[in-house]
Amino acid sequence: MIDLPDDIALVDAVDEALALHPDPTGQVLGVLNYLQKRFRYVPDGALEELSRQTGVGLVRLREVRSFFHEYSEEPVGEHLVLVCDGTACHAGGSRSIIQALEGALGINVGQTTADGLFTLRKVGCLGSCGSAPVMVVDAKTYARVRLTDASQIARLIEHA
Amino acid sequence: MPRTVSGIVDRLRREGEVRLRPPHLRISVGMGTCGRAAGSEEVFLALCDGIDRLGLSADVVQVGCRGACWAEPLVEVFVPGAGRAVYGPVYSSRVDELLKPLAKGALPEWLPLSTSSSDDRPLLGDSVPSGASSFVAAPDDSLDRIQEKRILGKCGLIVPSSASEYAACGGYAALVRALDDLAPTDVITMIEKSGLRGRGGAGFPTGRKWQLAHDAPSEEKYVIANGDEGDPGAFMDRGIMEGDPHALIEGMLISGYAIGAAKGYVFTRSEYPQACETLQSALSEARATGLLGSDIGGTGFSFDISVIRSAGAYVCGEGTAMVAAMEGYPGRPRRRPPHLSERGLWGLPTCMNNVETLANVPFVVCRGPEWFRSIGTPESPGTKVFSIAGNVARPGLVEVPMGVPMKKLACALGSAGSDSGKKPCEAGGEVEAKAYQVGGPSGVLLPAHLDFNLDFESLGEAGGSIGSGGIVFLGERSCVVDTVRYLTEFSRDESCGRCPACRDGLARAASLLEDITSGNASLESLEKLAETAQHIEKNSLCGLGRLSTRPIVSSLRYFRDEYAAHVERCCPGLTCQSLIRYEIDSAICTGCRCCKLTCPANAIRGRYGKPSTIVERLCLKCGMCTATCPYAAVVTESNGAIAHALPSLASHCSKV
Repeated sequence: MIDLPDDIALVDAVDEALALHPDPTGQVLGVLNYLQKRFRYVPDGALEELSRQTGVGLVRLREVRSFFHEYSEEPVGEHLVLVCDGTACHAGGSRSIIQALEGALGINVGQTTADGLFTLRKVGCLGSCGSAPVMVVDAKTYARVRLTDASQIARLIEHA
Repeated sequence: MPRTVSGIVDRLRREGEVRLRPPHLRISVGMGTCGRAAGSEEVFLALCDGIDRLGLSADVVQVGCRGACWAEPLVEVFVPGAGRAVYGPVYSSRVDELLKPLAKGALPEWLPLSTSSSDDRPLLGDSVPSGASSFVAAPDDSLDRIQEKRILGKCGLIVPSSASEYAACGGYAALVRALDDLAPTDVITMIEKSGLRGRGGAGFPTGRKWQLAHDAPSEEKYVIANGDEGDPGAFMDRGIMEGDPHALIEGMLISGYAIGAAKGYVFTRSEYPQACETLQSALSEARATGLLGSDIGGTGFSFDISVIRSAGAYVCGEGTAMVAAMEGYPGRPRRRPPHLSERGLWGLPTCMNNVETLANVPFVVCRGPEWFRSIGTPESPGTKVFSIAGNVARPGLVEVPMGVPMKKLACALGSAGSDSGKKPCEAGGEVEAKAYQVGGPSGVLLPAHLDFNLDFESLGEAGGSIGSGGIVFLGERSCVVDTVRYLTEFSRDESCGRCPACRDGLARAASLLEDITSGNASLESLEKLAETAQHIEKNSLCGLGRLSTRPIVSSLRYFRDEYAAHVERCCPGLTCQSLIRYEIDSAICTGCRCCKLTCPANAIRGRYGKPSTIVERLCLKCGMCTATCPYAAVVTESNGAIAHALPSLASHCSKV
């Protein structure tokens, strides 16, 4: 399981994020992106600190967090498995690939495994339609995934 | 350090010429997202390794996507005296074979994708952003023959972040011209005369947009580049941001000069990490050379650009929603007017253009409106980059003059309409398509036999729009109704929820389509679907809502029989899981039991050496058995429609 950051760590993180994004335009997105990347979720405490420092209402910040798909209220898995479900990938059988991964990881799409290792997500389009169907595990992109590959990749990451 | 803009650009150009035509080897590896997905990182490392081993003097550089995603990993070699050629796919295992002739100063005897003589002077010399014009494609290549590469011309040729290589291809010449010779209003007049229209979907005249932003009375104004390319199936903006980001920067600089803004933002998708990174390093280079920042080249014009990365929300591609997200609110659209040109970011006049539109601007300013109008149609001048994906032999990015007949493009891409019989295309390798999905979730589904041209007017007549320019080819084994269901679910999930017409209407439409694709529908459901679509179209607040019904409306118009078949519980594309069943052909099955080993539901019975059978009660319809069977013995059936496993899927394990 993951150790949740304490208050001091959150304040530090918000300070650092604000230093990186001093321009009020795009500041909320910039800070939340930073927090999501660092903690694998956007903690409530960090939003409170951000609200205190910038004067932006906490309710609004929470609303922003729930509005954008990439932010989560709870930590996502250590490894993020993204299956592209753009039009080309959909036509190329992304649905079956998702089913195969769901079976291999024992979770539904959108969920995180009990050991906190994997989160399986479906994304709109990764913009690599020429290589459809596509999936991404952490930073590695797999192109022209075949159904048989998908279960192999799942097995591979299971042993990771 | 030169102080004037032309001085800066001249110096950059001289530097870039040497970098592009060095006295030694230059090897460029396509490292766009698609290249990396195809394994170009390994190729790059293998090349660096091989060059060290052979002790060659060479530059190995990383470049963006050329558009030929179907041939990735792509490698371009420049051999002084021998010329330049592009090869693909080059896997890391073939790197040695590539380096051997290069060590002797010759090009390898492979069939190149395109070549040029070593004296590609026109590419460099004149201050003309021509880029690819001197890159003579192999003359028999039907795809290159119909392409007119302006926007994509430099993609894959130059190191994306390098301001000097961009300048050596004529880049920043338009900026020099604008700042030195033209008044802001002259620039706007040029853009207006060129007839350039927004490439993001709506096709609004860019010149008029700029004029409105220019006329808005305010000290402070903003320029925003819309790189939130959320339409599934569209990736041209990614191609530009990853392959030629300085074109976007130059376009934004000129836009800022024309409307009187000092600050620009590029808003990009979170799914494009590499585009963000490339853009950031290009911006740092532009700042370091003095082409971005305060008092550029002593002209008194100041302009800077920041990148803002979204976090996954399709609706932010809509202008007012994007502005809300940038101000720190949830990205929900608001009613217009007031338009962004009057009240945009922080309530100030804002000029928002699509990335591809802005990349067109330097061409107009540098070469003039007449040149720009010389191709395309009178109402839609210039070129358009289309992203090609799906059931087609050559997916990737293509740039063609506006108004190209779809049939011509499809043929060059190695696809044939279903009415053309099995006649092989001139491009070779034919893949049959039955429908095109043009323009994403706010686009249309058009049958492959329909004659239409790729421009704003012709597609409008066919009931659609050019959208952002994504074209997905759907083959005989794709289901039109399932695709419509998918697109409608996409729009439903991405609806911001502000207006009931879009929020509830799309939920209803999606549930009707779910019924149809699962065989629980009657012909009456089709009428209900059409009514729901009409309601959404009439009552939605923003464009995304209004246009989200286009897939439904167009498919009901052109593919009614496919809907009717679903009502009869038959999926002609053999895709809808509720309507298909799998069966093993006992005459073909050898009893190798590959399928039994991979079936996740343990639904296959049979002894080794004896034909297996599928227990239908347990079958998940996942298709794993069809993908695994080395003998294509698994048959897919849907109330009369029957197909054997696709040989292409089975062939990879035929050596089992």
